[in-house]
Amino acid sequence: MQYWKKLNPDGTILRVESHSYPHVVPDATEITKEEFEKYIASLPVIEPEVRDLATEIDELKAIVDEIKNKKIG
Amino acid sequence: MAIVTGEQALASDVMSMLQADIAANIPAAATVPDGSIYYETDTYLLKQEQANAWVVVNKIIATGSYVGDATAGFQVSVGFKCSMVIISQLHTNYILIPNSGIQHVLAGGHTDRTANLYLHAADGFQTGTGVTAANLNGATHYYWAISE
Repeated sequence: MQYWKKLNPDGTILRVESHSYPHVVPDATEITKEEFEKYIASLPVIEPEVRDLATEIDELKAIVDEIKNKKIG
Repeated sequence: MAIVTGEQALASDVMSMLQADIAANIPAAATVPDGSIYYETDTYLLKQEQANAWVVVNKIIATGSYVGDATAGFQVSVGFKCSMVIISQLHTNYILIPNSGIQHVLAGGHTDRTANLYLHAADGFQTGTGVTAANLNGATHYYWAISE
């Protein structure tokens, strides 16, 4: 595996990449596995979006009922 | 700071000379028996003589990863033109196939092939912006790519 980084104009890291196929990544600088892993470890954890569909449906039903009641009223 | 000893430098030079020597000694396809093959260990390419030309006859499978950023999409170079790429990050997956809709599996997908997420014409694939186009800022995306 080869490891690469791309930089912002100010020299900070824009993005890191790893590739199993040996090739030169355009506009990137090869880095060590340690530097790659250090950058990955520094990233904030992104939690997957969790949706409560049952609650969302209940909320929509309530809105529909409210609209119906307004029309009737 | 890396320290390269004289022995290491010499070994590196010798290896470069050997590789160049081997490459220079691969015979022209027109001079070998029909159907001859050789394997390029540095590119993983298996080549066969066909009609007096060396033709790649194997597929390459590559894996890797990249971290999404806040840009408006970027090319992920994998080293070769792809026939299919699968991308995964967190619980979202993407499949890139030529001449077919681009699917962002959990969000319905993009149906265009040139603006958001698509196979690059020469090398790897192109992302778009955000989670629907395999470029979620700060998230590690893993890919599996198959050559043409």
